[in-house]
Amino acid sequence: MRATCSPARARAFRPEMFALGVTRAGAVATEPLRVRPIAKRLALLSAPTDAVPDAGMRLRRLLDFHKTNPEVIPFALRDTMREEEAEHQALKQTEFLERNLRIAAENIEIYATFDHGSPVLSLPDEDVTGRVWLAARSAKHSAYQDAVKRAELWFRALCDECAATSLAGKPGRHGFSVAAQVRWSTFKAIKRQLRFASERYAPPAGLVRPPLLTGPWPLFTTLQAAPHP
Amino acid sequence: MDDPSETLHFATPQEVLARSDQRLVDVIDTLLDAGVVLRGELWLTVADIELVFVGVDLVLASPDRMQGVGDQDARNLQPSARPRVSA
Repeated sequence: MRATCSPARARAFRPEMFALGVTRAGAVATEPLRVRPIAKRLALLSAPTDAVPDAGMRLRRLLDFHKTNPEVIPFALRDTMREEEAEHQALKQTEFLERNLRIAAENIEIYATFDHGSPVLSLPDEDVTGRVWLAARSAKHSAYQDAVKRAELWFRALCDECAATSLAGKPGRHGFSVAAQVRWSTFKAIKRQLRFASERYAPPAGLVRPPLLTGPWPLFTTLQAAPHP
Repeated sequence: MDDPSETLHFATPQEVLARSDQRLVDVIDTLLDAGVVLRGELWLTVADIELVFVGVDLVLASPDRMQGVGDQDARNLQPSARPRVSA
């Protein structure tokens, strides 16, 4: 006797899948991750929602996959995105994603995070005039932008020796980060240089502590450069 | 830079996830947020008849970042907010 099940019933029993990113068709993922082809050379990397309950776990799963499959472009991980929606989005920019998957095979991102006060001022006190407050706000923003520019130049100088592509700074809660996309071989060279010549890379003027360097990461900023579908 | 703890070196992604240092929190925040796209949809309906649909796709990135994108690869990048209206 053959058991039958309607498509609607089958859907009801299928666990909801959350999309983590895109990868090449044919990539192999270990449980609970799944790779499902959606185009000739493109596949969705996803996981059951209950296996990746929070953003931290999604990041861990993605990094595990990235270790053995460098050809992966992550989606934003803060909010969940259902597999169907992710497929819809990915198919709108297949060409861009396939091209960048080839880049991802040989490239990684590295981050330099700098300590810096927030450029945001609290509301003015009663005894401070609007003009004074606005001037202070403007000065603080200018100082912040200057610091970001100096940090970018510093990071570019560090990476340019290896012909890296430098990306712009991004503010955080306690400072800001600068990201660079570099080739795997370049990353090894940068690490070697830092180990033997840290004194050459003193923090840029105006930034007290040396930056925190992290990597290698998957190409997280790639989708920010995606053509709008 | 004499303090060994201040020597420049790379923290691996696994180290970042295992520690709760304030600076590392910033790194994770940045990574989780990367490539954020907001999508909003609005329908104006009268007597169950859909009259107007407005869709807004918003790519979140700093002006510097968008400028950099323009210089590099995505020449056909659209404006950050693109309202679509159909009636």
